[in-house]
Amino acid sequence: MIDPLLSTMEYALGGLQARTDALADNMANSNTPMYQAKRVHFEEALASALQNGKSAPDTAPYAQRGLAIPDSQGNTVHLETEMTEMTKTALARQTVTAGFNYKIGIYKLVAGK
Amino acid sequence: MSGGPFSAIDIALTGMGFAKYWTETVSHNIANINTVSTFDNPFRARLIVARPIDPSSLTGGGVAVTQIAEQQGDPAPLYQPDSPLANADGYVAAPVVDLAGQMSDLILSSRMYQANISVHKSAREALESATTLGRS
Amino acid sequence: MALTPIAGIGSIGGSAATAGSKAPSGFGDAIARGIENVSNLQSAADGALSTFAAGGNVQIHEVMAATSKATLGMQVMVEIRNRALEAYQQIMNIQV
Repeated sequence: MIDPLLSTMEYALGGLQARTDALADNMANSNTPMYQAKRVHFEEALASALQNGKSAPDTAPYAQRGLAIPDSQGNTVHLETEMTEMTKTALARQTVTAGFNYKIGIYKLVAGK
Repeated sequence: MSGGPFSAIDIALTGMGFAKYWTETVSHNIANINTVSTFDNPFRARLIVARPIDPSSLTGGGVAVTQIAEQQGDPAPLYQPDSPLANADGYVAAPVVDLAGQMSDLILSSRMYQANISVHKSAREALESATTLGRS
Repeated sequence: MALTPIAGIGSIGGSAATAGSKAPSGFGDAIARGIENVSNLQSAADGALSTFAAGGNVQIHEVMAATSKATLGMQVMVEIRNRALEAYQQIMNIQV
């Protein structure tokens, strides 16, 4: 009965929240020796779930460490990257939230408010 | 790399990353302005070479470091007979660093960083106003 | 007391029916096309949203424009439904 797009957007909002938490953790550890920055992935799983006709994947978003070039202390946090990711995450969340409100608005309209 | 809803922000990030790397390189070169060594292996300033990312795409994808070159030229001899690095005549090799050039690079790299911060901010503001599109 | 019969209703009804059969693009067709348009706008908006949610290559302004269009279309359709219902009720309340 529930609109599949609402489930899709709910999953995306959950993934974006997990990413925000990971980014905050990364920034807090920008001076911790040997700390490897976390990157949250959920878009790929969501895209393949959508391709298979499902509204959301069964797996939760997951975090991956490393991949960036470490500094002299073995830390892979780059503040510019973290800030950029934070901005992008906030913008994506605003857009998905607007989409959520759009969908709810349509239902309210049909139901006569 | 290019395309996607956040490409302007991502491109500005490559510019910031390049400028930071450049500043770090300049910092290294200036820090070694007194580093003498033997003539067969003098300290040479590192010069980074930029390369555009994805230049054939519609908007391009930003900038990256493609290689690090070394400043060429013969090292000036410095008379330091007590240095363990001195040759038979008592000379050591001065570092091959163009200090004036490094200082102007420092200004350029810091301006480049600031310019890319401005692009980042402007792109973010544009996208933020896009999220209010159609809302009264 | 002789009542004058109400004349003309039959002929009005007849002409309306013939007019309806002659022109296929009547009110009903217009409504059907409108519904189809609104449905298309909604699928476009839903597609843009799910692509964006999955990190696809769709711009924010495209998503927002698509959802705005779909909302506006739906508002117009609901308004037409309300007006049509109102008109129907007014006709039903006509004292005969």
